[in-house]
Amino acid sequence: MTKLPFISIVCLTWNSREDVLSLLRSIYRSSYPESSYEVIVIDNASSDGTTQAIKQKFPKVMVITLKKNLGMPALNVGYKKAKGEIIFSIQSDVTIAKDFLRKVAEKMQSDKNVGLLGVKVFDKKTHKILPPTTRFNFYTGVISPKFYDHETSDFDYLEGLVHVFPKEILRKVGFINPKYFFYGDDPDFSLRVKKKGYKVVFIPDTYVYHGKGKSTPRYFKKKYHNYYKAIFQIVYTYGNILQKISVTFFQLLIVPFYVLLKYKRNSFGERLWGLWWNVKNSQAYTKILLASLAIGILMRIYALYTRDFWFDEAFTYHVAKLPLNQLLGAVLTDNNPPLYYLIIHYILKVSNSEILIRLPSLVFNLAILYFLFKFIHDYINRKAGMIAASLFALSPLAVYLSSTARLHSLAAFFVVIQIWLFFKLIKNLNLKNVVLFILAGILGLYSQYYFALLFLPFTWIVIQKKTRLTLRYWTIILFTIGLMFSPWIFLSFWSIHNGCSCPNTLLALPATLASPILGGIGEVTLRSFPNLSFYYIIFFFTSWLFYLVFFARALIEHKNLTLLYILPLLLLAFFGLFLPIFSPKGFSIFSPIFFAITAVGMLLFKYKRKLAIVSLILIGIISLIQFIDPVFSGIPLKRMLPIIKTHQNAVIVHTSLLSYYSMKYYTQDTHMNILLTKNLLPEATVKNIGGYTEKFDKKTDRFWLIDTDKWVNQNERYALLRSIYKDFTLIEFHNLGTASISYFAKSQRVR
Amino acid sequence: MKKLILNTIFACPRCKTLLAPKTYGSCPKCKFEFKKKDGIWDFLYIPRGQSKRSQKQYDNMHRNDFGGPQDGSYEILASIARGNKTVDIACGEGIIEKLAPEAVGVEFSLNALTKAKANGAKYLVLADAHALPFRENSFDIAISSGNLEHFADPEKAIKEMARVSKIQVLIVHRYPPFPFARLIYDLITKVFKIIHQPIEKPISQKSLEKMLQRSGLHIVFKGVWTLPFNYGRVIKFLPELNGISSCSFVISIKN
Repeated sequence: MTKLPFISIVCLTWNSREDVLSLLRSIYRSSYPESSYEVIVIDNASSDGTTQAIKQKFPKVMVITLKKNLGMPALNVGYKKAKGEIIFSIQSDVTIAKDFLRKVAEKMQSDKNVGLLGVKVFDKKTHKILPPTTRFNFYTGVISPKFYDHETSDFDYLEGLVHVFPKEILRKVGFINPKYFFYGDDPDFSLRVKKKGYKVVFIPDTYVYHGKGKSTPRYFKKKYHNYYKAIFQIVYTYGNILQKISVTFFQLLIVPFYVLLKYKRNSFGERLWGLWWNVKNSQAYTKILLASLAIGILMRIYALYTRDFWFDEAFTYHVAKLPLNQLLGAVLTDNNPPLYYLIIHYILKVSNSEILIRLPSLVFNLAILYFLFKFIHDYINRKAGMIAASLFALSPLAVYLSSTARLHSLAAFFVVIQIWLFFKLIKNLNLKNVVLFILAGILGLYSQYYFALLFLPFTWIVIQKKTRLTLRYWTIILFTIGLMFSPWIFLSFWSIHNGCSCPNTLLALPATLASPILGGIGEVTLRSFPNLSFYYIIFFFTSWLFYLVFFARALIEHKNLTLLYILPLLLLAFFGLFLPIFSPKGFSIFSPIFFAITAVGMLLFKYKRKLAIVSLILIGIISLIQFIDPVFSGIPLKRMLPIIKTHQNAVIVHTSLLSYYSMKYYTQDTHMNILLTKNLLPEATVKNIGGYTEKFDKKTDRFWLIDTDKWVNQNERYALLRSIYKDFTLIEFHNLGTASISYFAKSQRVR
Repeated sequence: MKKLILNTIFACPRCKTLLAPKTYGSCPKCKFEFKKKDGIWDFLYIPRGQSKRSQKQYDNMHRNDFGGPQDGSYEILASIARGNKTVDIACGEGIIEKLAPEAVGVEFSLNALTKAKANGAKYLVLADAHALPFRENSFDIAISSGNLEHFADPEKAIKEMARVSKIQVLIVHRYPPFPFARLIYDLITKVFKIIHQPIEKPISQKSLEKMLQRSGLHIVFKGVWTLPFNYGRVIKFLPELNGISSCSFVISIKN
């Protein structure tokens, strides 16, 4: 027989003198030779004289008396003192079987790959079996015991009642994490052992008895607090993003209801405390990201509910509600591919509520946040990813895009996905990555044309970096994507298009560079910013310069990343000089890369964390200003609705295209809408979605007039107003800032 | 169409004895008392405790504006009712009777009926749908629009409709046509208790068909009707789903 290994038995106790004494008795009664083990008892600042009692009755035992209760991590003190090859950690309310030490030592000697060993547990009084093997559901955070009667590793963790492990494990995986005071230390230890490639094994050959000791958390004040804290902590440490979100959701919103119904115990507050503890004890950058996320999501949801449905969204709605074949015809006359309109088309089958129409934008926007973080995390570093995601969460542009029923969020989502997949493809050229890349490429192209610009920097990187992705493979990939997109290109060449109202490069380029920080691409464009108050202009301009510094710094240092943004921009800027193709709003799909570059640049400076906080505060303030100041809200159509309802069935006439389609959406079929001025959309589009310029019918007795000076030829408008005021009497007038609404009735003039 | 003379078609709601009252009286067999007050016949006999509770709640709800969808469905139902001997089960505030005044409105909330009277309804009867105070086959058509799911015992109500009329027009809310819809719906209405009306138990198309068959009715037409889900924003922050097929629309005839 081989030599028996030396075992160090480490026992932690707190105010349970009798339990410890019975445990020690059971140890010294065991069949293992007394010379081959040592016993270390750690007294976690007990007040019942445990130390004295042990010293009196078992003088061989090494007792370590602590001055303060350290919780479970106090075991570490014992681990450090332990001399044995095998450490056997045990709680004080357990007694062991006679052959326990021998069986355990045999198992540990026969299988060197065992990192952690557990045994059968019986209840001291009832002799019922209590399983130490436990499953931990990483999606719900629910812990469920699992019974086994054979040797197995098919469980998630071993309860900390009895842990047997070789001492070298401590060197490999570290000691017990001092952040777990009570609960959570055992799963944490098991998971760490597993992660290092060792086996965590349960053997049914021997057993221990477990009683209801006084040091169990029964007498522990914040028992449940710590329990829930540990659940969150384990998932936040070892889980992936989906599991983190899912567990937060389940543990806060689903499980407490179950507990309330089944055990009649309210656990909401305890769970919240657990979550809050985890937030409080996270890293600084995580805190920054979480705070930005919370504010960003609140802003997005607020915008989703309160923003008025403006022209672009109404255009989306009127196109998407057409039957499919007509829809494609209508989209062909527009400057965008059909994917987004198709998504909205199917959403309209459920409801035509504006919240639901905007919801895809919000979802894709949040998905961008995640993939932006993931891409930078995987290919640059974690901190930059967090800063970039925080900036994107608070950016006025992103908030705007997420609450607008327009295709840019969708396209930006595919841009980020495509970049992430591209770097994956370069690193690891396999069929899965190629297929995913091609798929994302096709979907991206079908959501916005500017997406194609992304292939330019990609090609550049493929040529520059000599990886396994050779030019031949790359050409095949590009060809496949192009082939799948060619039908649409072919169709759209044969149809008449909207004349793009894009500005010249000289105007569009500064707007593009400023928009991620300052917004200004929706109804209120950057061109109207000079009308703002002087302080705003100064503030906006300096903040923009502040960001440009980081941007410029990163331009020099991180060439591959900046190429992704700069090459498309330069190309568009060049052609934009001659052709009206450069739309700052369209280019906003590349804005996530702008934030990635800025974040990377920020980390090259000295006071990174302070710079990050200052920049986030700045961008947050800019976003808030754009929420609060009425200058940035467009035509207040929602405020007009109750006014219009006071006169049922009255016709609504519009002087501007800007209010026409949106009002048509809001009133649905209850009011007739008439556009009096020239419709700027091309004939082909109007044919599909309606909105011909109509002659004003003088027979109409009463009508509402919505008047704004935006998007209309002023001469035409004045002539129109003059004729209306001549023939009709003004009855009601409401001035709503950027637009006015008035009620007219036919004049009863006496001749 | 022969003109409907309301007091010739009454029967005792409890024991179905034929009655021909002028203004008030009682059933000769079971001594059930009934009366006519302010143009509304009172034949209220509620056999089920659950209905009694929900009757009280409806009475309270009808003190305020109750409303109904303005998507034109009531106009269509009224056009079916017009020119036929029609009974409108759970007529509420008389939206159909406003457009088809000859239809007989049955409702168990007095507050709703007073409003219906003001809306111009001619024939109004205060009664429970589980115990209709009419003789057999006294109507051509019975309309039940979006209320069967709020009844304590929908099958009993269908049987009553089958008894008094030849043709039945039913609009019944069903579970939304999404995956897990039933689970989510039950979670919202039963666990979180977010409800619009006292009883909310949508009836699936299949179980509705079975109920109709058990009542001896032959289904002639079955389709869908799109009343908005989350109507009037029961859950305030969620949008109204007005594009999904939320209701079964069934027309049946007696075999």
